[in-house]
Amino acid sequence: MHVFSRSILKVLLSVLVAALVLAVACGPAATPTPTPAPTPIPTATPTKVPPTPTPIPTPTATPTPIATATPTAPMPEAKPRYGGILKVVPQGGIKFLDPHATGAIVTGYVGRNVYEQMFTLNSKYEIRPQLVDTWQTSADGKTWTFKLRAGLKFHNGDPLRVEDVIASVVREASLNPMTRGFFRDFTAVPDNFTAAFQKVDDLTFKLQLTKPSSYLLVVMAQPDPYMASVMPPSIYSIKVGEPVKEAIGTGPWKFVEWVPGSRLVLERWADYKSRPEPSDFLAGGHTVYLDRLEVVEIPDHASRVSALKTGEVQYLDDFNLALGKTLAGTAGITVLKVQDGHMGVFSFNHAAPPFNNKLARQAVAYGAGVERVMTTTVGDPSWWKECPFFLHCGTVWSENAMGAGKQIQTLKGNLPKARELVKQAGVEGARVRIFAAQDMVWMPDGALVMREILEDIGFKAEVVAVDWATQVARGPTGEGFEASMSFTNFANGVDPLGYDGVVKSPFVSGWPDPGDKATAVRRKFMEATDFKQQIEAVRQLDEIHWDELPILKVGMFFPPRAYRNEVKGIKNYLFPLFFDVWLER
Amino acid sequence: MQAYILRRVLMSLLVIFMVGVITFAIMHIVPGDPVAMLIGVEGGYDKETVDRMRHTLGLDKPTYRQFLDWFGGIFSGNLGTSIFTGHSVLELLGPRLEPSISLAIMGLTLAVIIGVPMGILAAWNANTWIDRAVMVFAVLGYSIPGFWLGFMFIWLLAVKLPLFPVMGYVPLSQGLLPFLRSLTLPAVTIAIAFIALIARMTRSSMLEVLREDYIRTARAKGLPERVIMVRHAFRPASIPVLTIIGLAFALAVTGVVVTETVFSIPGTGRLVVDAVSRRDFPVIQGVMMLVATAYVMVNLVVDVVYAYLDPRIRY
Repeated sequence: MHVFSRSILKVLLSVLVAALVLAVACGPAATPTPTPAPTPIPTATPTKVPPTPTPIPTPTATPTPIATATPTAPMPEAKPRYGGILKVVPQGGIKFLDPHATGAIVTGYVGRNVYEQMFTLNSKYEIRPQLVDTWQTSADGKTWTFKLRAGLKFHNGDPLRVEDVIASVVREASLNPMTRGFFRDFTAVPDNFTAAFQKVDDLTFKLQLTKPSSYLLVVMAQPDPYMASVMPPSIYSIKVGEPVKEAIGTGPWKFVEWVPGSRLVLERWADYKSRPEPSDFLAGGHTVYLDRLEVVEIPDHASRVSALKTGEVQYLDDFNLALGKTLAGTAGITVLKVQDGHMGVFSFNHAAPPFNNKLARQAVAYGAGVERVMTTTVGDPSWWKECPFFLHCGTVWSENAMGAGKQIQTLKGNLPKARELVKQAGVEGARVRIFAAQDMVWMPDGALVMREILEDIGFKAEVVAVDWATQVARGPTGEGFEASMSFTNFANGVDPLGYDGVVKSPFVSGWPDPGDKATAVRRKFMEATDFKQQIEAVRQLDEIHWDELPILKVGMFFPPRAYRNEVKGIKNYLFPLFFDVWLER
Repeated sequence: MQAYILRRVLMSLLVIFMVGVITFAIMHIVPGDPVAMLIGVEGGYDKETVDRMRHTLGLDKPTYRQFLDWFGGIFSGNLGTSIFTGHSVLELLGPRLEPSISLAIMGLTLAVIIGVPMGILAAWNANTWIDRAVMVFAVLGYSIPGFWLGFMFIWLLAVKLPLFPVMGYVPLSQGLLPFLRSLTLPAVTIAIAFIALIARMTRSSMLEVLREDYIRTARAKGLPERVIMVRHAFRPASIPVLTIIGLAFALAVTGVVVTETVFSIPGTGRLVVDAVSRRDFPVIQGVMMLVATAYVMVNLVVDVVYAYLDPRIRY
């Protein structure tokens, strides 16, 4: 009987401990965040119209419109109105607030809303100034002079200084391999990037390069991964790698709070100094009509859809594709196909057989018919497209430099040719373990269809279910797998040097770049001073890609976004943006 | 007595130390790299950046050194700091405990209110259709996956009949009604399984007690069946039920991650699962240590108090 008494005592004590913990937990942390009082309607501060931009030899414009599938423009009679709270569900949880230090796309909710950069992109992916007013290059193309817009302030009230811009650019360059590579190659003191900058006056500074390059503005306008966000000293002085708990920028949204695993809250910054040009994607002037933006984490995709239907949230970004298709046609809800979507990626382990053999990799490229992969994983052809190019399709690069892959990657695939290559490579019956992160969308399905294809062309394939953290960690080690499944977002297709097959992402597992072929062409691209030279370099990179196949891109698919129809002004851009967006009621 | 208490305290410290060692070892043995997760794959795996971040975070130190740093910090009240958010484990856990404990209390209250009478009813009517109906419900309730039940509740009671919210948690400080509304569906979802468990346990415990001699004596004395059931049979039968409730409470606080995910409740279960998925070592280790320490301390206090109350007890 005493055992029972002891159990009762334990239960009572457990409840007592729990009650005490609850009392503590219900303390300050439970304080609700007050709804801000209505702020005055911000009026766009007139700014000097910048002079005709000095030549930017970076024709990154895409001649094609971005989104055509779904009508997204507000109704003609709709008139913007101020006020309201917009609740948005991002594609995944926000894990880190430092846009300099992470390539995680969800950190862009901070990077694109709270911060601004020296340059940014318009909807045609052309480079446009953001914090910069005017800029010019010297006759030899080596000295760049930038003048900042006057009167800009951070959200903490401090004025934007030249020193802040320089320190922010240098900090980002120390973390972003692409920017760092550029500064090492094009400045005189490779280990001290700051030495390349020179302050002229409170608004002007110079950057001295050792040789001319148009790539400078590309790295400064990088929208993702990594953003050259301009920060005040309290943020940029945080040691690289240390977590950042808040965000202070010059952008139209002011950081209010971040509750990890729950929500990020931003509010309209009344003192935002908008550019005078019309809003165009990230570029131009922006008006924030909403009082508040709440980025709410809902881990389960079905629950996200239910919350959208009931109006508890008003916008879903990049959620489960199958649910997106079922949501289409629901009254009061608009579903968008993000045309500048994702690219499915089948990555090879180059450190081990069979894919350390180029012929084996080519066999997979011939065998993996885009239609088979995409019909199985995505379904309806209106949600995917073929793209036999090393970058995403839909940019000036794909329009002008695509070609090498057309004979290799086809809609139907070429199984006889693939089998023949497998035999030639001497890898018939070789074991292929495909890593597939089960906690990610698309990847498990992609791995299953690729397993079938590999079996069909002569490999002995199996899918290894792992979690994303394991897949990411194992990639660089090359242990325990021969291939892995993933996808990459469109932002990687905007800058040809952001191509993940060449920067040796975890999935590539050390593609050796034999003879530094790709490295030499990348340098050529950075040194290019006109569009023709750039296109030629991109064409060569595409050729190297289809010959070497560091990774195999298996087709593009369009992730869905959805919003309630009371949200007006939504555009179907590469990233979800909430400037110039308002609530009808 | 003092020697006994000292022995128990030392044993408890050893258990806590072993929990720390095992948790730390497991997290460092399984594949996964927090820095790789932090940088994100879209940025490419840049060894130089990775090495710098590792150095800043102290992840380039020898494993034993990392363990000593972490474990040493515990004695000064520092359970660790999240690699990703920069918040201390206590800062992260504090706001998560409120929704988890509230959910556990509400779910278990429902479970007890419904499960115990169901068990008594089944025992009272053993081997009749009532007993079988209760047991069918119990088997079903325990077998139905929580996520499916959650989705069904959402579909029916939040989407079709908008009575409750689909997601989120409203703290009690924002009003009793919104608090109760936000917790009703998840609480009912976890309660269904616990009702089944409690009803089964109550029934079997009651049946055991009903076979005791003193129950037969009470019946022979002519006491009403209701009095026998409630006063004489249920009281002793409730002890194992209470034990189950205690265990269920602990489970509900830390282990209902599926329910928390479906209803988007930022509780402790999701905190741990999120930390595991991105290999946020300090958070996982800190939470595990805290939970383990709470369990060990409760056991220690119970053992000591019981030894004090009953001098015959010596382990």
